[in-house]
Amino acid sequence: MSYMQTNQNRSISHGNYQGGPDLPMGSAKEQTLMWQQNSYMGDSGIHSGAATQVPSLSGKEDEEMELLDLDQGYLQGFTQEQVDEMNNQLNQTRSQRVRAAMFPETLEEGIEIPSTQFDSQQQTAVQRLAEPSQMLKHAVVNLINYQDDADLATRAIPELIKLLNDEDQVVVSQAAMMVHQLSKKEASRHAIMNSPQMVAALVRAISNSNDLETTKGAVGTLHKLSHHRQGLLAIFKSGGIPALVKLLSSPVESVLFYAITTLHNLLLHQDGSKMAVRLAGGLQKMVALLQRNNVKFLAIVTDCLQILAYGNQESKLIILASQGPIELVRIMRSYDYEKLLWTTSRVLKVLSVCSSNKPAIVEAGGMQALAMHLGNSSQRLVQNCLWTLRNLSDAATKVDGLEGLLQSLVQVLASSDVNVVTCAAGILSNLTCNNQRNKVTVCQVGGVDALVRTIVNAGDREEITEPAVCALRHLTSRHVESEMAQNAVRLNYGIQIIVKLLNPPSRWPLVKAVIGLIRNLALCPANHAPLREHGAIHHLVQLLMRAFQDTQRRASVASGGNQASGTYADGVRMEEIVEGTVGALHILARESHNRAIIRQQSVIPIFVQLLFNDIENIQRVAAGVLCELAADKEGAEMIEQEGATAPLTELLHCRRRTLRIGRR
Amino acid sequence: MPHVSSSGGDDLGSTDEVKVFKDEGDGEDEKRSSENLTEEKSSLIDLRTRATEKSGGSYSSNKHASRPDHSPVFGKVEPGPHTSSFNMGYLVSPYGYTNGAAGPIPVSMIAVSFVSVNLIYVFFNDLNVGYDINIAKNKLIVISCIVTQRSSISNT
Repeated sequence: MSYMQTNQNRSISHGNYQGGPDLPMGSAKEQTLMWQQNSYMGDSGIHSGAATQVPSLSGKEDEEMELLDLDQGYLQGFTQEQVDEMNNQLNQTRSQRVRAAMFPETLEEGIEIPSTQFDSQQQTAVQRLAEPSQMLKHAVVNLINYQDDADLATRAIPELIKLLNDEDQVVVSQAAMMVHQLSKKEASRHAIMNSPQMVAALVRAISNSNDLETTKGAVGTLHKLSHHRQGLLAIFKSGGIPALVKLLSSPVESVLFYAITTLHNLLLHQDGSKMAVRLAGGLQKMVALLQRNNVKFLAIVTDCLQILAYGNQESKLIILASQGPIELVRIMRSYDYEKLLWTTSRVLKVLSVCSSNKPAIVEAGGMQALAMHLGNSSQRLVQNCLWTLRNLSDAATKVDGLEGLLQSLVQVLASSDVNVVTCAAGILSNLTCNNQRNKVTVCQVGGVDALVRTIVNAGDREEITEPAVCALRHLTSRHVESEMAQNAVRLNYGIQIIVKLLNPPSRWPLVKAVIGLIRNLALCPANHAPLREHGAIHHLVQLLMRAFQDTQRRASVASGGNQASGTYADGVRMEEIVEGTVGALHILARESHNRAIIRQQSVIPIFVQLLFNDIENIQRVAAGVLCELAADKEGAEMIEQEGATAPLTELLHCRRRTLRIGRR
Repeated sequence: MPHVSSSGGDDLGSTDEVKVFKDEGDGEDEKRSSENLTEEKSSLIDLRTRATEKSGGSYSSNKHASRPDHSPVFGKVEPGPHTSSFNMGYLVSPYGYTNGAAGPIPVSMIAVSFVSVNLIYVFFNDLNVGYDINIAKNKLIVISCIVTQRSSISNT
């Protein structure tokens, strides 16, 4: 009778095995399966034993007896003989259980060892020992191997250095291959990188040898060393960078791959590498390598270029001189490997802030090539393309064939990513600047609606509202669809939200853009009433007074000295605000209700003073608004009271055509 | 319609303006991004190593050397980001045992490695004494065989 089968019929309520009497005990096989399920790595899956506890079943002289609270009923049905037999069996297999736990690889296959695990939830002491003992064993083996490798390398290195410096190329090549083999092991690798002479000998071998195996072995070793800080330093100090840059011209792919990955590791982690690569002519070689067609290789090359060019104008100019923009744009057009597109877009981003590279990228078709990826599922690719497009956009206002890009930009305005929306609005704003075709395209693909929605959703986020308002400003004047756009803003309930943006916390650049947009919206008579009802006139007059006082104050401070030619508040001159607000009020004053409100704002004296302003555009809009106001008897009287009839009359007959004012 | 004009009708609107953006990215972010290419780099080298093995360009004629797939030396040149470097390149992979399967027997392997190390010591001592280039060449070939063999023992 098997011990396990006996177990099925008894209840256990002792010691650690509080699984209780209801603990289901299957056959030996079932039990094995059961604890295999929650077994741990490294165990043989057979029954490592609770042998130390089991003998106490007999109640004999075992010292572990006291651990068990023996259920007296448990032994019922067993003769003393049977109990002895069970114990014998377990005693005999004890060493096997220990062996199974500690040296599972030494067990013969197919042997069944009785388990002493009663509770599938709880491992026996020997089972618990299995994992740490395996780990310890491996650690010891590793240590022995490590020590071997270290000893071997330490002994071998002085000899290998001699051989690497030998005159016989065969010897050098054999030595280089051996060093490469050694470098694959951690311990010997450390020995190699700790020997400056060895690293220097490897670098020399690369520089001097024409033998392929020598080069492969040496550069393979440097590649291995480049995974360690110390190795990078050793390569750098031994003049390894010029040697590696030289290998970038190698026709052998494996050499090239080793060289570029080693250089990439150096560029990432070793100070001084960037300058060394630039000085060694690495940029030119890397740009030349862009004509290869292995996408992973290209990804590393482009990333090297990005690291080298970031924040370094000289590198950007070298890349430009080596025809980098053309190659990079070609890559963006030709491949679909995400990582490559991403690294390439990052080089283009860095180059696109350079005023010399910018037109070259645009000329090479960069706008269209970057636009191809705006629908990509890779967020980081889309974002980098957008950043680059935005950097390029001011140099691309006269580029043809951007309809696809413009449509994509309008689409991504709906994105939930703030950066994406910010960029899209900025690009749309620049591309619609003085470009009638682009303005019409954006209007036709629903750009006005999308921009108004974007402004509504952006709330106080000026990084979005400012470029979006600028784009709307461009779309609402100087093209055939502008009137449609002026109406569309109103129909999308944009007027209220736009007027609101004249208030704090808006900063001056946004305020200036909003003033410009209101000026354009006022060109549409249907917008006059809504603008008035939402308080546009009042806000504009307030801003005018504030800006005017500011210019006056500065003028008096600067009197005698230099003329105060405008100080900037966040990049905006107050003169621009004066011109913008008066220009907007001029158009709004075409409508009689609006004129009545303007008259109530006691702003006419300011308009009159502005007739004498130094800036011609300001004179022009001031004369314009006064002419509109003079249409009503009350207005004309107020203007006359300010003594403005004479200067206005003079302006009306002004010799300068630009200031001549035609009345209705 | 009332109108005031200077040169053209639309001139009354506001002027269009471009804005120059110069966003080159953040230096630290960019560096972290570059570190994402570890996979590309190791696969380039991996590809290269396998090609070399296949084309018979291996350093020894030992047939073990042409079985790079499971070797910690040939198969996995780069340690992954979560692999301890200590596990790399040794005769016995510490987590190589599967449940119940008979793994390599470490004792005999240690013995092999001891033997080969001692052999190499002897060779190098020899090299030190009388430095003859022809002897050196032969010795080198022997040593490189041993090194290669040591590297590939874990294949078995």
